[in-house]
Amino acid sequence: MTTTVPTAEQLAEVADLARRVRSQLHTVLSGLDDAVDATLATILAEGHLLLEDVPGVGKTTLARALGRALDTTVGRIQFTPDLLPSDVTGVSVFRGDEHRFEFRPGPVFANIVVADEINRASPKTQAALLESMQERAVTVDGETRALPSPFLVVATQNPIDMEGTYPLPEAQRDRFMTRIAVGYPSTGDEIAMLDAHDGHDPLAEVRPVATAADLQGAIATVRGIYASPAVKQYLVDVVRGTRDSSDLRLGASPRSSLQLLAAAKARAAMAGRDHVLPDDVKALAVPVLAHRVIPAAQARAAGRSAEAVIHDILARVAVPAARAPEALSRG
Amino acid sequence: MTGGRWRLLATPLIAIAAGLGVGGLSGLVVFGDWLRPMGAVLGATAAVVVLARLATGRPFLPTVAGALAGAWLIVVAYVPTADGGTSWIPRGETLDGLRLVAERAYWYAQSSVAPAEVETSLAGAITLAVVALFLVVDALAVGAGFAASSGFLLLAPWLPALTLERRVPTLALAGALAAWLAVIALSRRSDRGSWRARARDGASPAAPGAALAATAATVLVALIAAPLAIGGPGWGAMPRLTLPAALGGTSRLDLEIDLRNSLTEQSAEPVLTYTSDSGRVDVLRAYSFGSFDGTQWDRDPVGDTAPATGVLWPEDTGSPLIAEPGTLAIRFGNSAESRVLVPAAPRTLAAGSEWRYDASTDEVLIDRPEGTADLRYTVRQAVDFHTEESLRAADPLIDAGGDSNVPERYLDLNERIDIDKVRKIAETITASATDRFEASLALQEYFRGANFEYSTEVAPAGGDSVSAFLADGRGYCVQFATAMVVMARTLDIPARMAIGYLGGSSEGSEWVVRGRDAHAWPELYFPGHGWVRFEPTPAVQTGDRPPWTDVDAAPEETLAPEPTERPTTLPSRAPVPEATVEAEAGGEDGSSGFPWVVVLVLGLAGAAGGAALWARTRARAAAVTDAESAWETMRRRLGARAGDDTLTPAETELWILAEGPDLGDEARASLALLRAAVEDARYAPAGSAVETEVLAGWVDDVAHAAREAEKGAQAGR
Repeated sequence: MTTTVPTAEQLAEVADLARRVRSQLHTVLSGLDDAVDATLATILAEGHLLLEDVPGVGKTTLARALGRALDTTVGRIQFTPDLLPSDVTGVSVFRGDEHRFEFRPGPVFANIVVADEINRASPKTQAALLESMQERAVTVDGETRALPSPFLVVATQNPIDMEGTYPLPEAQRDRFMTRIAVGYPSTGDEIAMLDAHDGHDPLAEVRPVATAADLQGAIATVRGIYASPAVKQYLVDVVRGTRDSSDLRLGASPRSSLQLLAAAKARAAMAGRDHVLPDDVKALAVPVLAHRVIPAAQARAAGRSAEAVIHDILARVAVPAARAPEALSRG
Repeated sequence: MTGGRWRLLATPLIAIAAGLGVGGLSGLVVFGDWLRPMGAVLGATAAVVVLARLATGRPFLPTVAGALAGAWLIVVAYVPTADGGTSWIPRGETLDGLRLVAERAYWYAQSSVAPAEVETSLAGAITLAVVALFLVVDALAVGAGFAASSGFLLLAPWLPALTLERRVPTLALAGALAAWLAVIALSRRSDRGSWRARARDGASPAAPGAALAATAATVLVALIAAPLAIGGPGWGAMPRLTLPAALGGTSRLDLEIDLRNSLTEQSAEPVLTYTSDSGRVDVLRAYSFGSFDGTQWDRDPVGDTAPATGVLWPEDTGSPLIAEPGTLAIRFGNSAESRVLVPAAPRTLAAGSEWRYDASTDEVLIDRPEGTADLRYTVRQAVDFHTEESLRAADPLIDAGGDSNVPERYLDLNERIDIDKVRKIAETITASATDRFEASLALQEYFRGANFEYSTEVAPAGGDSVSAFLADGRGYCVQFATAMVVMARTLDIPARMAIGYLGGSSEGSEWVVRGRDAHAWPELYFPGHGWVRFEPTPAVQTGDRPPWTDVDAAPEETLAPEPTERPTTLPSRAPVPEATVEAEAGGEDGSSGFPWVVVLVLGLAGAAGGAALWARTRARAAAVTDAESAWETMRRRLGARAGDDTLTPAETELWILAEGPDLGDEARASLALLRAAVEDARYAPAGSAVETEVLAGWVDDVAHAAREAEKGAQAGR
């Protein structure tokens, strides 16, 4: 993958795209700015998004609004316990008149796939989706078919302690670049939400503001964002902090370092910057890392969530003052 | 820092301040026509610097240009070629010429007597010093921007006057000071923009209370603490400005003989003038000192006094005292003594009714609030009263116990002196003496011999200062007088020390006695004759021996008339044997000492202060070498108010704005710029391109605003 140093125009385009999408989403989801930003960053970093919260806080609305704001194909899968893998990936049907099998693409063949309540489906079906997320391709009947690009899965999930769910295993959660806990809105935001929904569907007002090509261009720009040795040092310090923490049973994987850097680059580009700041790393550390780590028993007993532990780590790791030595950049 | 125009104005002002610095040589050299070429060279050098500064933005290039131009001008003006022409183009031989001029200036400064006429080579040396001072101060104040600190250097030319307590021309000092202050004012103005801009930015004037406190502190330090630190009673060490007498320019002999400025400040100020029909008077006597405690002399107590009429002399000699009268008409200046100065021989005074005579101390008391200031009187004295014969005639009376006529205190010896040792020396010296006159003469000649040297650069001695002086062999009049008095007493000769003035120098028909003619001498008692002055202090200071002691050296003296011709620059600050600082005068003429200790201390203090200031500014400037260090410096200067290490620059900025002091808009903007710079430096591919000076300026802005806010918060509490 070749990357080029982004020009000022490209950066401005990314920033503008982010601003437009944000403004569209804001009409639907007031008070979710952080979630929206993390979502955008995930898209631009070619990651996948896991929205996790109790029902009714706007997960699906966010996902759908995103699909509308980006002028792309949107596939939507409502996961149920009886959903089969082929309902996700598509199926080959025999065309008698033509004497051949014809592949009917499943809903996963879209730029944005909204996988609602992913933890309600059986692990087998979950695995089918997660594999396509990883491979960005689907293999049906021995034939591998590429998924469109850009490809973003926005999965929503109820917290695992709700009934009738198959919690995603840790390995599967690692496939999601970010997990966003939408959370309850504030009083003001909730009143604004009531107003927005008063008499009409706010989703109808969301206009497409970016095409798939725009998105592709922005993604290419993000790849070229510069991350200085100092920032990489800081990022690695934070990730290693999760591995060293006694509050965590499982720390973040090296893949999470890669994904955290990619997301941070996207956030930098959204701000029109050509370089990553530690602030980007800090802002995305919880969304990127929290769902990959497992709090230790005593931390859970003390009522400390993974988010809280990562916040502690961020409050402990010093921001490197100078450029880090070359040895740490590993070429 | 923008706006180069103030620099163009500051340079001439610095030239003025440096040029007026020659006022510090007041009393050392005679001001005259040589000032004109000096001013011209200085002015031309300043003009070159200004022009160079117009042409270039480099800070120190104008200094180099000025140095070259100044050097050339000095060579042209002061260094002649071998054939006496003008060396327009410096050649190899110019260096020789330069060396010759320098040697000649040095020799002249060594051999001449203050105040010296300035001849060409000395004028060249002074011009060189002034131009160099100007260039250095200009480079410091304008090139480097340390306008205030440059004052330390501008102080340098005034140091001789300050330490020698010369009177300096008030106008020159005030002018130099004003020029320097103007330079500071100009530099500040360009720092901060016009006052209008400052007012717009909301800069508030200092609180009146703070200004008052600062003024009070300055006065306290300048007028009390600093003089005390310099040493001694303080006021005596302050530079005395030439004030009109109406404003109180009076002086008097300081009779605290253990203080370093014991006699009077070494000034060229006339104490009195007199006309005489019998030539220069030997001495004019004012006070007697009888008790010496090993370190310090005490005045004799006032005994029975009588109206100062008739012949005034402590001893009744039984013969007409004034056979050959010489008449002195004395006119006092501003010197407010409490004793009337009279010759050290029987005399009569046309005295006012308020004058009284104390025979026990041989002092003429005057009871006027202003003392002797502006006093005029006539004295008739016995010219040839003291003779070898009359002194030898005292011998029978000594044997008859004539010494009991005088108080016991004139034989007291303090046990702090190593009496046995001194007595042993005295007895050795006087081994061949057959009577008191010969013994006294032997003592005097001992001190005037090759073993002793007049010097004001005598290290302070503790404990037995007399023995120390005898061992060292160097000292000045009070030490010579003290040693001779002590020796005489060990030989049971009643002796005391007298303080007064030497006869001064001739100016036209008059004799002028100046402050620097102040002198101390021993007086030995001869029963039936009275108290007789001897002169142990070497001729270089005191001239001829008293005639009655000049028994066998007369032919030699006639061959060497030099001493009387020389102004006798005396240690007017009378050295007590163990004065801690040898303050003496006349460094320029070499004929009197120089208070090197004071100069050294002052110089060191100045240098240390300057170095500290320089180092601080330098450290502050050096600390900011790039955006990273600027950020660090800023955080360090904000201290705990700058958040912790785990905050990113942006978070640190937010933290400071939220938790830290209220910075104000300007400093907030500087903080944001600084944050952006450090972010660029750390994280951007291209780094930060902000210049160091700008970064340092931002750091200063933020730290200054934080400090002000903190102060405001404390004041509000």
